[in-house]
Amino acid sequence: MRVLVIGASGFIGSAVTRALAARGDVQVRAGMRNPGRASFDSSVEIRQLDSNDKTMLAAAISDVTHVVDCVMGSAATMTGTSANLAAAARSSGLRRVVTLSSCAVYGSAQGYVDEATPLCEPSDDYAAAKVECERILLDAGGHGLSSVILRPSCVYGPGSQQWTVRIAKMLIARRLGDLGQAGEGTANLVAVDDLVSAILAGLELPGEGTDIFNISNASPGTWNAYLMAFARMLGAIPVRRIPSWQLRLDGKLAAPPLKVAQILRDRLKLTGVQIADPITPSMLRLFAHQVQFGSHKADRLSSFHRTPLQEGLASAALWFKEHFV
Amino acid sequence: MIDTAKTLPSGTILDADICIVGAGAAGIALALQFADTDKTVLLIESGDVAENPEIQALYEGSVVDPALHSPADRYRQRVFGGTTTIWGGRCIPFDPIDFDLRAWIDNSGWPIEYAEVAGYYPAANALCEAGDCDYDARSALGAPMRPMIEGFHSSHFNADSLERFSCPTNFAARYGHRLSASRNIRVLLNANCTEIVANNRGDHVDHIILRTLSGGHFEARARKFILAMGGLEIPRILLASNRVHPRGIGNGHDLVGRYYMCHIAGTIGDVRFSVPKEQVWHGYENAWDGVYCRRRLALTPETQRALQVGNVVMRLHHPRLVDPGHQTGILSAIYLAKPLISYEYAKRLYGPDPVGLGDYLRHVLNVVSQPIRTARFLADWAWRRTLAVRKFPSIIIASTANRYSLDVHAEQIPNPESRVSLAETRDPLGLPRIAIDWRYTAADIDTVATALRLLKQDFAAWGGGTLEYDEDEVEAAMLREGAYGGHHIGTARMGRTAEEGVVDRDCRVFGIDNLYIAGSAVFPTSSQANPTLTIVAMALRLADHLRHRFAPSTIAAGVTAQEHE
Repeated sequence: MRVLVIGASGFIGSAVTRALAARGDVQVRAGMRNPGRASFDSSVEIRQLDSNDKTMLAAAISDVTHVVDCVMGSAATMTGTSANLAAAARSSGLRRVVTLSSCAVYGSAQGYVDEATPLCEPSDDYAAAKVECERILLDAGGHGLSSVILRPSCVYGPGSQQWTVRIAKMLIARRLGDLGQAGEGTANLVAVDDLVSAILAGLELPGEGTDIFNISNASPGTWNAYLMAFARMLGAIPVRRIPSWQLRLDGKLAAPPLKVAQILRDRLKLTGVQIADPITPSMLRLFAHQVQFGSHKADRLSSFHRTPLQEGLASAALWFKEHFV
Repeated sequence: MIDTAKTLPSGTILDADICIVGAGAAGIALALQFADTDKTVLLIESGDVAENPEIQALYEGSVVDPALHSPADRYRQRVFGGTTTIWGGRCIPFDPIDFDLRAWIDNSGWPIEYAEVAGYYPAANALCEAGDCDYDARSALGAPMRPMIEGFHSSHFNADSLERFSCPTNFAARYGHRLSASRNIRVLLNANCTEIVANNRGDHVDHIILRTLSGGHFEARARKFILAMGGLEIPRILLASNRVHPRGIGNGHDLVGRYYMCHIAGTIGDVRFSVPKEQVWHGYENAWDGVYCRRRLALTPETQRALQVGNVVMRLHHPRLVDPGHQTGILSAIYLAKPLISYEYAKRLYGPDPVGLGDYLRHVLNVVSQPIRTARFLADWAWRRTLAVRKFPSIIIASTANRYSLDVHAEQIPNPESRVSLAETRDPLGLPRIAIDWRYTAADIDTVATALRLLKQDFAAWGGGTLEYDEDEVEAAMLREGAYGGHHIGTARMGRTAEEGVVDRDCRVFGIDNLYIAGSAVFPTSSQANPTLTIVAMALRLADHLRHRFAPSTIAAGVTAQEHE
């Protein structure tokens, strides 16, 4: 098996690359825009790759059998990658594409949601882009491309900026904690190692055509339970009960200037400047949102496993403390 | 769904599998257990979302001795959420001895084992937001907890016994959205249950009658009815429902409304420590989840047995507020804030004694002479109590003089002469009002007197402190504010037989196959503990029982269980 990982320097892409390299029986090509950021085993071939560049992508997949698409970026970057991939795959010997979509495609659906649930109106640009990426691959399936589309819920664990680093910092700053009623939404989570196991299984899933899997924990608890357990492991105790007025102030008053400051910092490339993450309105919606992403179908992915939350949080907390404290 | 009876057409017949009357701690806890199940639940509440004086006034009644018991409409709230809208949040489980048949206490003993309730305490703790179900200072905090009195050990008292505090959680504010989101639960506000109507044989509730203050009337029919309106309202509706049962429903043996218990409580004594001030700590510590925990001195079960007394706890407490002699600006500030503090809390904080102008001025002097300390306390109070959701539970002031008083909370023994009955007058809905004749006995006072005597001896033997109090004043001190407010216990007690109790071990009214009671009315004894946590635990236990009763048959239930495995 020769595998190209697109977006290999990213959070999930690098984890997949390492896992593939560790198998020993796979030739791994790590495609990334900025190869300077990579630090992989010497067996991994590093390839400078802009997946929005059609020719470049076609060249990169011309001699591989499998592709893992972990591209994260603007809507145009993600849909562009999918389109280029679908086009290039027609004239190559590609056997399987595993692509990372997201449970965000379900929008504001409530209750129990699995792969059979029809998609409703996307709630933001990211979700709309993921829906479009899926559509491109489903179309390509009609022309012989076999893909496995994975829809992970919130991916946490070592390396996760969104669901480990950001949350840990907010817990330590007592901006998050026990949210009471505001944290009663369902915490659909997947440990990054578990997602990687699903991706690896997706590469070798027998069959043709396009298949879609939700990738999430089997019996999700509330966000409060996740936040409090994580705070405890981080030593951010006693956990504070966050009053709703504080959440509102943080989410409505502080969030816009923080976001603007972050954008400015990124534009001006002031990488050393520390700016607190905003508590966005979408985070607050998520913490209260009652939806369970059913992932029973993913049991068909042979090596997919589900790390118990306590275990996953413990390794996330350990990693955070090593790197940030 | 949350609905109001105000807009319901008069004459409507409501129908559900389970009809719960009263949306307080018990009713809401019970209803939540059926959220998103296939059982339809009707949760009836007299009150509205916000307090309404006209509705609250339906609670008015008479009190035989107003010095001994607060007015009938105090310490209980006729509003969505019930009294959880004003409670203090103290959570303490009952002790195993409270369930024992104690030969020295008449009418003691529960017909169920302690373990049958204890199993529900963890879930009750969670609902009350009181954290882990660990009430032992040696393990609850993970880290060692600060001792109450360093170096003091007594074989009579356990100083490792904790109390935990709920936020305090208002069950309507906290769980209303779950009730509202649940498709099978219908909360009906502004609906007053005015009668329980049994069938002609008197062994089954056919329906209940509901009325609104604006004249609407309805019927609710259900397979199971659960009364969860509190320890004073439950005897009222049972006694008033006398259409088929002339003495009232469940009252065939004249037990309804009797054995009415609160707690015997008060502050007393002058505790002076000779050990350094730093070795004495009467404040709170936070568990990992932020829950406030505090030690108490609990009379051990062995001592209770040996000396044949009831259950009792004591806490170190600040000196009495009203006496400006404490020379503490903060305490005086709290005294001066008296008009701002609600009746329920002011009563116990200040007591009934009037204060003259001289003392009033000395309070003012105390405040202005310690402006920085007082200001710092007030700022801390604002941040940790007023602005916080998880509220700092009570005023804790380290004593500059190393002097304290004792705050006592003791069991009251079951006494059939202490009772709630129907008065001659009626409320605007036509329901007879209640007459409260709360009594205490010499045995109740003896429990407190014994505990104080032991503590005094133990301090003397230890040598690090003294306790002074007047033995003749114990009764007066415990009765200064009358029966401890808000704990309405025993008025529909649980018994082994209909001769012994109003409800059976499953909280079902004897002789009626579909009427249940949730709440402290069913407690046969009162314990040292505040009742709310056990009310919630018992509601969860009742929910489990109802679930089993609803299962088509035990065989079918077994098959379902296997399918889930």
